[in-house]
Amino acid sequence: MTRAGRLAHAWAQTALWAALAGVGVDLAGVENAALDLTEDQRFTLSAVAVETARSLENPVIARVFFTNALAAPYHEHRAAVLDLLEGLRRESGGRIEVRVSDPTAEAEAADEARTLGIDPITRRDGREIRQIWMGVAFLSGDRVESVPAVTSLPLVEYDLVRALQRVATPVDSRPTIGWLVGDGEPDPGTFPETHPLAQLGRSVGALGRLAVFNPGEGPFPDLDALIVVAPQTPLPAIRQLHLDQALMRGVPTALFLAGYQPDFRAGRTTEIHHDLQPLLARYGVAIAPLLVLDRTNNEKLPIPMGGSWVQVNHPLAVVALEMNRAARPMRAVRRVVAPFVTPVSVGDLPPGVRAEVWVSTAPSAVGTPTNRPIEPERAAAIARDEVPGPFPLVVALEGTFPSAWTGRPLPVPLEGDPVDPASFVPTSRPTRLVVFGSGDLVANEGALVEATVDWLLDDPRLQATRRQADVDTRLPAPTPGQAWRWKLGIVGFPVAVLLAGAAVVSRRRR
Amino acid sequence: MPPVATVARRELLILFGQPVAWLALAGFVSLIGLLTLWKDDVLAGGVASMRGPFWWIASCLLLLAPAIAMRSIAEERRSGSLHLLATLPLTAVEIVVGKWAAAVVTLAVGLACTVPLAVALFALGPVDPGPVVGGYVGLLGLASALAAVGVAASAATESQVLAFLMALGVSAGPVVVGAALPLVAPEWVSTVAVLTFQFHVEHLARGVVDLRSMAFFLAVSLVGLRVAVLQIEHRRLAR
Repeated sequence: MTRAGRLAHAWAQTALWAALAGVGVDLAGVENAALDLTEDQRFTLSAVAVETARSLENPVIARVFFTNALAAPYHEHRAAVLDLLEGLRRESGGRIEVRVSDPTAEAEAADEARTLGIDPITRRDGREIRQIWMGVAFLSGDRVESVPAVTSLPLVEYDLVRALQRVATPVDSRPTIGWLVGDGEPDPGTFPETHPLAQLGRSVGALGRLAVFNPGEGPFPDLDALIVVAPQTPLPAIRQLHLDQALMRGVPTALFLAGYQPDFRAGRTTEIHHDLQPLLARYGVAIAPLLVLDRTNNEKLPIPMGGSWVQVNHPLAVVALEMNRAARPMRAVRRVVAPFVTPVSVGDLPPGVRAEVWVSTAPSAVGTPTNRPIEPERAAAIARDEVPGPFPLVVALEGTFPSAWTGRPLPVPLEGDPVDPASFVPTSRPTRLVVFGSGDLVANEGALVEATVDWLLDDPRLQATRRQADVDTRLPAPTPGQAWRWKLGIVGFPVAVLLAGAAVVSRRRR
Repeated sequence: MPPVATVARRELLILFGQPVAWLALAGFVSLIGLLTLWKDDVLAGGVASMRGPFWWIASCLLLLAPAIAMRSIAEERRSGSLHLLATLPLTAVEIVVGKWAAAVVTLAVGLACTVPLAVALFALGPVDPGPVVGGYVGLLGLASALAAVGVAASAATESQVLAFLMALGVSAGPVVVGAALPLVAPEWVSTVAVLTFQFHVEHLARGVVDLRSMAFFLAVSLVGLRVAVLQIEHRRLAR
């Protein structure tokens, strides 16, 4: 072979190597083989997903409506959804059939997606803002469960497996979520469709069957979870007893308790007396008689000014920034807007009850035992009786609770039959209780309320998929000694490398 | 001793016998330390993860790898010792692989110098070891790819400075593309994303050793080494 020929051969060989390397990388991506080194197998199909797929009794069609070739940061979502569905399909033994369409290019698919409750979402896609499709619907018989937009990669598995579980569960065997009314609590069914409370009612209802009920003086119906939102008047003792007994029967309960509310006519806040403090104290929850305000971290509130409503940043619309990420419902929450909020903390815990704070204010928050003017500047004025923050705002408890009526005479209803002492339950089954210090929060933080109800319903199989969330654990605050050693190590180690180098070089030179 | 090991050992003795390599390693560790301390303080962030430091380590590797690899063949050529090597019973492949192995070992020593960061983090709180191991596997893959690019650049010129700049330019390419990913046309984004270092380092730092990532680093290493061999053969044949 001539020199030129050998040169051409060498170049051709190099080009072939490059081409083969490219093909190799491409082929490596086909099987999506990966070794998950995380402690909790965070990026492997979870046990609950496998179990859900394997336990399917009827065929399920997974209709994927995804825009092809999305730009960053959504470029991995379609592949993540399809990978997960492929894993579920394999585990289901073929009971899941996956059908993929791109409604961006197919008008018929777009119509079908809308029929199944999936609408396009408006997002920046590369350099343009356009409508894209990122939804999945599961169909089984005449039942449909949709995930309208898969926008969070860490929650892909949770969202899809939850929808799959729902479509596979008959409607009449879904959990009943009670929404108590009768003491001034809002009824989500009475608000216009676009009102946040109506939307919340729908989203909470999607977790099970939402039952709005007013039991009068009678016992509560059989429930799987109970929500009490902002009672405005004192709960009579008989109602408190039934609330207590519902908890004793193991009904997990969420209380969103407003301690203060705005009185726009008077231009001040006014207190709300629900009289639940002594009851909650028995379970280990302490509600401080303080109104929290934060002059630094706050959100807008609609305020009447000059005959119209104006959105202004208001110190009483506190933005809480300290989240307990170890608590599952808080994992996806970055901040919580809590208007007219009261501190809720862990009090004297009865034996067998564990508690944790989910949300706290920033240290810039202060509490005041007196009502404040609504006008923002006057509300922000410094008062003498202020108590410095930070304050816990949400407390969650788990365990076996003692009844608040143990060793006390049972209240007698004004009308109807007295409570049968034989039916009194003195100690609860293992259950959960979560208390929020704001009622107005419910309208702003629908996702948090939904996650809380999800936590209350405590399907441990479903909750397990939350572990797929790509969230690292928190470090405990370092001691001054640890922080000092950390800094010393960072500065000192390069010096050690230099000294080692000097020693090696000088030895070699000798 | 196999010829490749002989070349690598000779290269390592030269590298670690000079203050430059030690200064580069100390500079590498200092830079990571300073960035970790002031730019992205793990303690202040309060997150039990090495992801932040891994990004800085990967970024600093982009500087360290060309600095370590720049002299490997360029210096041999400048001093004429490459002709001497050519008289020995060594193929171009053995020379290149030996030089590359020495560079990878040096970079591995640099990575080992960052292990105390991880150890300190483990001492502070509950750190998941999987992502840390995955991160170091990814960084070793990145180091291997960058070393191959550096050796290829070093084989292309007699000037160490030019070799450094060429390697830096080529290595920075996939990083720049990764940063500019939102500007890439949607139909190309999935393909282009796989060609960026960020994509692979991010996956590995999550604790997932993806076959695609390992294949990518292997592919870059092989192509880099092949280009270096081509340069040597080209010069040998051109004479």
